[in-house]
Amino acid sequence: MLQVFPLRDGLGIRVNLPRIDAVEAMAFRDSLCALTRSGTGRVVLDLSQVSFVDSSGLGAIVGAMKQLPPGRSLELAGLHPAVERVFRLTRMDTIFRIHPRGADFDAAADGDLRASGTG
Amino acid sequence: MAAAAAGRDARRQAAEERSAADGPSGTEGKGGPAKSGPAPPPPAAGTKPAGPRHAPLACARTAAAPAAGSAAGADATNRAGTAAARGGGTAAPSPPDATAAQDIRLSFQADPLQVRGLLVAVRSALARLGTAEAELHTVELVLAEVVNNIFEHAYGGRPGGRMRLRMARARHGLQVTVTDGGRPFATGAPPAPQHMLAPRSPAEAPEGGFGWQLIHLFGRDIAYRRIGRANVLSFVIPMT
Repeated sequence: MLQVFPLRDGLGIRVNLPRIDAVEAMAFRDSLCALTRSGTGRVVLDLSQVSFVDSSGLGAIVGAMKQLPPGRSLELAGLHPAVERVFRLTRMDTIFRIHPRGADFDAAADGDLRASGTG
Repeated sequence: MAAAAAGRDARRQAAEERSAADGPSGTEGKGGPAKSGPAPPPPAAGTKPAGPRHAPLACARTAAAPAAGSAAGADATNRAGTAAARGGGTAAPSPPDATAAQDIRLSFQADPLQVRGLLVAVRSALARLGTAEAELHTVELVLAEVVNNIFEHAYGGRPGGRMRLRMARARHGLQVTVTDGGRPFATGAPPAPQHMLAPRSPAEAPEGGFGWQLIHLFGRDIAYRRIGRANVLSFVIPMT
């Protein structure tokens, strides 16, 4: 379900699910928490395979973010338009750094973090 | 003031997205004879939710774990009386006929897995009518929120409860009626719309309560009635 890969300054996690909905939300949240409860640096959640997120999936992602240890941050990448829309309409797009779909979020890490002021 | 402005912003955004989307034309809803029977039966006594499917981890849980789909499948009927689908486990109900998307009637079991199959079926029925992607997503999202709320709250997260969904294409959008046999809203009415504000910090971000806010954002003419032992919720999802 979650595929971990290293980033230069953190951890990438690719979500291999077509939907984060009421069926998946709790297991997804628990798995994500388990992968991120230690360590430092940013965590980039690659959602490029996810085409649907409902309120329970949204709550799971926000919940996992709030469980992060100090020194860790959660960023989102690869959002499908329908997924981005749910974050935007609920205003949850304001608490995550969201990388544009298709952007190289690993290479962009150093400069962009400072430039955007969200690091 | 700021709150009101922010609320208007989100609503306007939703409205703009609706008007930007192309929808099918000339598919005026046809109100067939309503086949409304008695309320669905309450869940069988002693039905217990399935346990967690994995070992609990350190992270705190904030909601009951959804139960895995059980043996009983969704049975779907449409106006033409075809498309009776039975699927247990991960099987999705087969999609209703495209023509039936103008007046779809579905009866299914309230649990997340059945809900997922239902949403996929409704989406493909509407897609065959040429409905635009953004509108497909709106319908899928609003139905997901309504139906999952019924499972979680009206039926207390216990599988086995029944729901009926009726959707009819009307001039101004999709008229949706959802009936269940679960508990009524504790306050006698659905949660009121609230302004969705950007949280001041990540720590203050809510982890729940998004569902009804999304329903209010897209749904119009939301009406709830308790009829006997049934909850009847109706609303319109505006579509072009």
